[in-house]
Amino acid sequence: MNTMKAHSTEMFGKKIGSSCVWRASGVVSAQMCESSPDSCEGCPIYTRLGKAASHRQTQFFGRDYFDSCSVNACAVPGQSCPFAGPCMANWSRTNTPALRMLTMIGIGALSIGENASLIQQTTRRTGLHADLVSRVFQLRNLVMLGPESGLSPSDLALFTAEEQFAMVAAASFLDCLDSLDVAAFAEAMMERVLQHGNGSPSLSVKHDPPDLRETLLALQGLAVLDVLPAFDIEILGEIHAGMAALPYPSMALAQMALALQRAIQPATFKSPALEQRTVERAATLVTFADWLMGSVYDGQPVTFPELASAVIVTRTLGAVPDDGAIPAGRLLKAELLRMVGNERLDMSGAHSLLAGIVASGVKLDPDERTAFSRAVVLSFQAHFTKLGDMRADPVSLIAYLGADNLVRDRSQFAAIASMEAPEVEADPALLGCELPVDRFYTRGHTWMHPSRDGALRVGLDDLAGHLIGQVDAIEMPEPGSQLRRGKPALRLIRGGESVDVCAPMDGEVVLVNQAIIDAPGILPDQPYDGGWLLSIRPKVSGGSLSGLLFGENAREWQTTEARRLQEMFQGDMATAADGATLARDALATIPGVRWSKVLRAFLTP
Amino acid sequence: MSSVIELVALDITDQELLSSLCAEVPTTYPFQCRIGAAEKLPVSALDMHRGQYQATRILEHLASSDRDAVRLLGITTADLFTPILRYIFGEAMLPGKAAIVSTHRLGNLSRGTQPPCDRPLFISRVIKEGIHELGHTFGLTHCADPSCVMTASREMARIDAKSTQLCRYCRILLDDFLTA
Repeated sequence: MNTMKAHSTEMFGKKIGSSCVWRASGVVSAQMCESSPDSCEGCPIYTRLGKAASHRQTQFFGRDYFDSCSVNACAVPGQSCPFAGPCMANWSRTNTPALRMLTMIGIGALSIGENASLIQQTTRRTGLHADLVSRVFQLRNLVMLGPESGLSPSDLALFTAEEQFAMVAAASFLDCLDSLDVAAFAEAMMERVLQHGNGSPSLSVKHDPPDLRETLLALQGLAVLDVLPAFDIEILGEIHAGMAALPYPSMALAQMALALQRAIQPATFKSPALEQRTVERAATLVTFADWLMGSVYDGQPVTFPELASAVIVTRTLGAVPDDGAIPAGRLLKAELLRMVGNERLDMSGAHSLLAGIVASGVKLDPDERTAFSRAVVLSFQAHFTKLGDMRADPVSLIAYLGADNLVRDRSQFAAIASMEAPEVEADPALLGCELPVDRFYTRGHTWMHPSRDGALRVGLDDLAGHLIGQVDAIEMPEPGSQLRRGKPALRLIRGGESVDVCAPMDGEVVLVNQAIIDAPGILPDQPYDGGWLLSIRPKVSGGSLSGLLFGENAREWQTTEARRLQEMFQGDMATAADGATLARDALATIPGVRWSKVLRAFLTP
Repeated sequence: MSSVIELVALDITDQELLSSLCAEVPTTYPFQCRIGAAEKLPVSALDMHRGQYQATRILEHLASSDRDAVRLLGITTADLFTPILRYIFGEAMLPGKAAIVSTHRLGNLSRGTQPPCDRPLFISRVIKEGIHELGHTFGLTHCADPSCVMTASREMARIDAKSTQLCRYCRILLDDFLTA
């Protein structure tokens, strides 16, 4: 097997060249390959792997790793994989939905903008793009379920400030803030503000401490929710005046100022209990802000981010004339373009520079904006090569970029909110069945699709449709009847046999599909649209959304179901078939098979 | 046991096709390849009701033969199926001695339900499916890389999109299988 050995040592570099999957996926840039024209020795992936993999190449390339590798659409993240750090699938699974949502907003902005092909090229090969597209629908659906999602204030405390803010921001962007349990979110955020306000974290001008960042995010979230307490306007005015006097406040203080600025807007409380608590503790917050202001200045700050902060604060507070910040803005712009020229962008630095430029009123030309976006994407790609510390990077990079794009063009929010589900294709892994990514699935082969009024449309998936085939009749429940999750909801009848379809969730039947009662043939032909079964108003309690399948999880589960189906009729010999397409009315193709018995094995959750 | 992969022509007389496939097999698998004696499809595999041959029965038939080869790859023009599936392009033991490929739906000029394609394209499809099914006999499962010959194909476009080669992961898995 000498040929094989040769392949495994050469596969990362020049000899494979443009066909190298690492290049195709953007993990290794063309420049990197070209910097070592004769071999793979210069390839950062190869170099790192060469050491790590020499004594465990088998495990690394063996089935366990193979199955868990994002490059090959992994099912089980982690293991002892040298790529666990940069593994995007691992990343997308280990972060919470809210954080993924924040990232998705960034991805969405990128996909809509001029960088669509670049970012898709980077993400598609790793499977990340499809995963994220499916997740945006998952989260949008969760948000649309709103107060019914069962999240309580104590649950919310489990999320980080960043995640809470992301959820609120996402709901706001998607124009469905009303459907959130606003009081629960506000209470959780206010708890966080007060918690930090009572402490005395050590604060430095140079480094904004993480807990301060959390406080700021919580404040911003409260501002989005429009439930900030009625501060003493005069005290806030003093704080602002004091800030304006500082020549170089920190970036954090600038954000603090912006958050407080929003707080001056008249607030309407949606929860009397919350109002009582926040008014009681408002003084603590103001004291905290005052203390921050007093601690921040140490007399030395001269960096560009600090200059940017100064511009933001003084312009926001109107402490300088409209054109007063333009000289500073030009300086910031020159620095930004210098960074863009280097192609390796320090994203947090670039982000604050950009914020300062926007605040100063200095404009970036279209060419400069394009160059900046491009540098960000290249920088994003370059980060894939840092094997150790990848996990957090895509989040911050994409979120920053996306946020910047979106803040400048709010119409993009609407574009994301109204995003159509991607075209669904017959999936070879599912024996040619289809599985749209825009809905929830259950292990009883039902799907649920939320609508804006909070009702859930329920149907059967394509795999089930192929097995059910042509039924003689469907016994539907009456509108108004109550369904229990996992209990029979309706009955399919064929050739004297019958099988029950179980309810995917507790709820009340609001509508049944008369069309399939009249013409049951629609059920297998159009399982995801015309063949829907009924519509329910769900009764959602804590935990009732758990166990539902979505996106890649749903597909993984359906793949095992397709395999189970094949094995059921395979006999004793283990085989694998190519070109496998499930027959329409598949069970009718096998003499002597009990239709109801097989279906019960699949429709029972 | 002989270190040869043998092609078994089952009711197929297309020598050019068999020779092309035979020449291609050793570029992927470290064995010689030869075209063995032709034979008839086993009658027991024919499903009169469907007018198709059940692939699994053909695999059983091949595996029980006394042909001296490390692997047997049957080639047929007959339309193949397995229960619940409408049709299949091919099937193989996972892992095991026997595999089968049908040209019926691969764009054959003379037979089949697909619109005919040009000759080189047809031959390349048969080669890909042959190498794919042999991969299963060496323990390889379907691969997520759409350019790898081990990717699952349900339709012609996906066969045409994949290469005749194993991706590097599958090559290493094959290496592991053969050296184990």
